[in-house]
Amino acid sequence: MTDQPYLEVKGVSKTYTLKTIFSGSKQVKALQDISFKLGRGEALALVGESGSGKSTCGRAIAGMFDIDAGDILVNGKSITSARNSKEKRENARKVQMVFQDPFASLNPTHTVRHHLARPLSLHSRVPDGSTLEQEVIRTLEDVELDPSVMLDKYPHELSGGQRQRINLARALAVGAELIIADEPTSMLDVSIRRSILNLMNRLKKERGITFLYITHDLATAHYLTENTAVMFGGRIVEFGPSDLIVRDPQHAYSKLLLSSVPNAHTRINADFEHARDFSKFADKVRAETAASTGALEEISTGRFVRAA
Amino acid sequence: MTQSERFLDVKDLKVDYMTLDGPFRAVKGVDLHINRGEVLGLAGESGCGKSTIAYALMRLHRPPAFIAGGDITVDGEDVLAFDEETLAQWRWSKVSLVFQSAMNALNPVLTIFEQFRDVYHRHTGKSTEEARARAVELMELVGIDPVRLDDYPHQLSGGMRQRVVLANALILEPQMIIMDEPTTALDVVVQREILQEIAGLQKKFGFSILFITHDLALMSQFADRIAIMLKGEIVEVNSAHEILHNPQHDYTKQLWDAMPSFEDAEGVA
Repeated sequence: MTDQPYLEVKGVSKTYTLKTIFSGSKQVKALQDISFKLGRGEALALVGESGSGKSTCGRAIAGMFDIDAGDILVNGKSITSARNSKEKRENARKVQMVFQDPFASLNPTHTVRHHLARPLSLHSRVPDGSTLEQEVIRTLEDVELDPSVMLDKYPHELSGGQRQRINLARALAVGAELIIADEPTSMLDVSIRRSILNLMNRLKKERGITFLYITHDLATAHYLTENTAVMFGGRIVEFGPSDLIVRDPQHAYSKLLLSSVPNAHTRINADFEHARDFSKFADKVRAETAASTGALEEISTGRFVRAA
Repeated sequence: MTQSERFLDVKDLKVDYMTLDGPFRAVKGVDLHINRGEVLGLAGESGCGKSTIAYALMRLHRPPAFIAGGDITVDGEDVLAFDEETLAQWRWSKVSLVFQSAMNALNPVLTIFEQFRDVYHRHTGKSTEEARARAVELMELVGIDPVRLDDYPHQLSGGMRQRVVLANALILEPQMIIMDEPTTALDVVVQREILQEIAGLQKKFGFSILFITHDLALMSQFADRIAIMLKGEIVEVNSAHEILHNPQHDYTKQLWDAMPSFEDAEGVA
C-alpha cells in the first residue's frame, strides 16, 4: 500500500464543557467533524484565528487528550488502539510536538545535554556501537547547532531561535516521523523566523519528516507546506494546495484571512468615515461562516470548500 | 523644514542600563524627529532598543535604566528638564502610550469605565459624570457599544481590549501617541482592524504617531517615514516608499528578506 497516507484524521470532534462559577456550564465545540489526510514527508498547514480549533486539532493528533468522536490513524493504525505502555510509548515517539513558546517549553534547571539525552535514553534510541553522548552530538548537528558550545548551556543562555532548534532536536532525537509545530516561529524575531522555517523545510525534504504546521500566518504556510486547511469555529472551511489557496481562495473566510495579511505595497485607507468598513465586513464574514451549515464539497481534485 | 514643524526632536539620546559588569548602553546616541501629524515607524528586532526609546521619550525609565545623555524636545519644551509634578501633568495630556499587550495595560480588577475615570479625574479634576460622558464619547469613537464600559477587561475580546487602550490614550487629546507593537499579540484579521482604526483616528485628530513594530510590511502600509534600528543605533531613516523600494542599509535588506512573502516560491515542494 504505497498510497496510504501517513496521517489520517477521520471525523474528529471534541467538545469542551466550561463550568464557570457565576453562570451555568457552557459547551464549546472545539472540533467539529474534522477530516483530512497527510502523506508521508509532506506538510500540511492548519491556518485560522485564535480559537478556531487549530491547536486543539494538533494536540488531539499528539494524543494529549481523548477525542469525543472519530478516529486518528498514524501510519494506518489508530492512535487509540494502543493496548499497553510499550505501544503508547511507540505512538508518542512517532508523533512529537514543538510548541509556540520556546522559553516555556524547556526546563530552566537543565542543560541542553539533559534535554536531548533524556528522550534518547527513555526511548532507547542509542544504537549499538554508539554512546549516548555521540547521539546527543549528532542530534545537535542535525539542527545546525555547534555541540562544542551548546552542550552545557542552560536555556536562559540561548536565544529564542536556538531554543526552538533544541525543541526540534528533541523531537528528532526520538526519531519523530510526524512533527506537529504549533506556531513555532510566532514568538521569534522576524530576522530569524526564516532560518527556522528553512530548517523545517530541510528536515522535511532530507529526512522525509511529515509536518503539521499550525499558524495564522498564510505567508509562512505557503512557504513550507503542500496543502493548507483553513479553519474557523472548529471546522475546516477550505482545504487544498497551499499555492492555490493563496492565489485563489474560494471561501469568504479564506479571502478575509488572506486580505488581512500585511502587504507592504498597499497603503491602508486612512479615511476616518470608512475606517471601520473593514471591521464591519470582517464581522459579517465571521458571523456568516459561523452560521453556515453547508457541507465541505470537492470543487476540483484535492480542493474542498465548505458551502455557504 | 523649519524647527517649528517638528513636534518631537531627539538629539544624541543615550540610555544606559546598570548591570553587574558596569553600564550597558542600550541606546547609543540616537537622533530622530517627528513632525506634527506625522507617522514615524521604528523597526528592529527585540533587544535593539526601540522600546527603550519609547520609554525614554516619556521619561518612564526607572533604575537600573537611566538616560545618560542627549536632548528630548517635545513641542518646544525640554522634557528632560521637567520636575516630577510637571512631568505627571505632561504625560498623557501631551504624549500618551499604547502598549503591546492590552491585557497587561488594563487593570484586571477595575471596570473599563473606572480605568477611564482614573486618568480623567487625575488630570482634569472633573466629576465622575463628566468622566462618564467623555468615556461614552470615546467608546463610540472606537466602535464599541458604551454599555461595555461596566465590563471588566477579561470580558472583552483581544481586539476590543486594544480598542479600549487606544481610546484611553486619546482621552486627553494628546498631540502624539507612542505605540509599542500595538497589534503584535493579535490575529491577522484583528490586527488589520486595529490598524485601520488607528489610521482613521489619526486622520480625524491629526496627532503624530511613533509606531514601533518589527513587522516592516505592516509598517510600510501605514507610516510616512520609517527608521530602522540595530543594536541601539538608527542605521537608516527614509520615507516608507524608499525603505520599501530602495533600502540602502544591509540590515534593512536583511529585514525584508527575513519575511517569507507570497512571492516566494522556493519553499514549496
